[in-house]
Amino acid sequence: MALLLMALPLEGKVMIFHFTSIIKLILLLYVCLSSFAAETAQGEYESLLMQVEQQHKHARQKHYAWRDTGKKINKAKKLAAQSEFAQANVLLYKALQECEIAKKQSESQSQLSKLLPYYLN
Amino acid sequence: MWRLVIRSQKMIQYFISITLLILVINHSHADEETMADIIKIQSYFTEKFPDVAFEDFSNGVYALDSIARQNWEALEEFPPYEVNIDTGETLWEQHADIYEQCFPNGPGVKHNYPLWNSTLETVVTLAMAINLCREEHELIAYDYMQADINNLLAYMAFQSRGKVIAIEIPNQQAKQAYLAGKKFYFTRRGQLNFACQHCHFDNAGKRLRSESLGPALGQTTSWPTYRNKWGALGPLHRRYIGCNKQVRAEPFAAQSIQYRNLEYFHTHMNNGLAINGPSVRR
Repeated sequence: MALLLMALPLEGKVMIFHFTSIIKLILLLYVCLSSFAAETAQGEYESLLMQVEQQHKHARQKHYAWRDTGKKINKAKKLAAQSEFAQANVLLYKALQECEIAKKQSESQSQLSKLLPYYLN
Repeated sequence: MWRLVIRSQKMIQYFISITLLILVINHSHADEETMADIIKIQSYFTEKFPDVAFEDFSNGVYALDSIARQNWEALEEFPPYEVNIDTGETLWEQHADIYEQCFPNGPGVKHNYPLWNSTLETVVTLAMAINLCREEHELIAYDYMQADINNLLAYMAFQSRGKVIAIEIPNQQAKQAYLAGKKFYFTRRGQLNFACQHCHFDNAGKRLRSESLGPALGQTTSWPTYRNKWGALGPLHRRYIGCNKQVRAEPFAAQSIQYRNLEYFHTHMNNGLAINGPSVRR
């Protein structure tokens, strides 16, 4: 900011006018961007939550759910209730990843003949 | 007309004899496969631990770890489950007339459970049989994780001590339940990607932190067990829940079909070993 002021070839009131208007502009931009980011995080949270809950429900129905996935979802919900959407999304992404890996794990374990060790074949 | 009747009678006779033949073949096939499993599993462990006598596998991990065995034997001199056996006996006597109807050779019948119930078409464990009996006689079913049923199980296990496990797989449906239990045992699950087999077959006898891993053979003979970790007597299904949680998989409920099938497979491999429950474990 200091560099910006020094670079301005203006004096007195004109310089002060420029300084205050720049500050206002920055503040306005900050408010706009942060509210936009919050709205985006909230929107992302809602769609993510729906996706994760759906996959977790499927995992539980098909008996391949992991122990802590549900805990992550609940923790994310608590964070979202405190408007901490960015942190909630981090947890939801982890939960989503767990659901996806658990599903692949379950699919790879579907045939008993392939699961048996050599000493039982 | 008569010819037609005779022909249709012959057709029925053929149909019945073919059906019986298929049933006999299926039954013997089921026996062959499950018997082969017992032989393979038991010889796997007897070859892996040649110094351990077959009967000694019923002592679980204490058959392998001599220092742990000394501690265990010292504990067994004044066992913490004695009170449970006494309480269990009182509970049995309270409704002895009912229980004797449900368990004609009782209370020492643990060596025959779990068994296949053809009416319910499901595997019935001893705990489930107690609750079915109670419900049949208009008594309130016990909570599987609470003390009462475990005390009663402790008394029944104590009365069954020395009796040799003899689990039967009587038909194809029972075999399907057995295979479901077998699949559960060898399926990797949870975030750690472990199957039961990885600890209790492949790494049996090795150390996991300060504990030795027990062999699968003989694991079901000592239940219900007083675990120092729990500070109480608990059922086998509580241990299953703990194992599933340890590999970070979501556990099933006690006496769920998954765990009953698992117990069916898990106990069937111990045919020939004697019941020695209740017991103490760390």
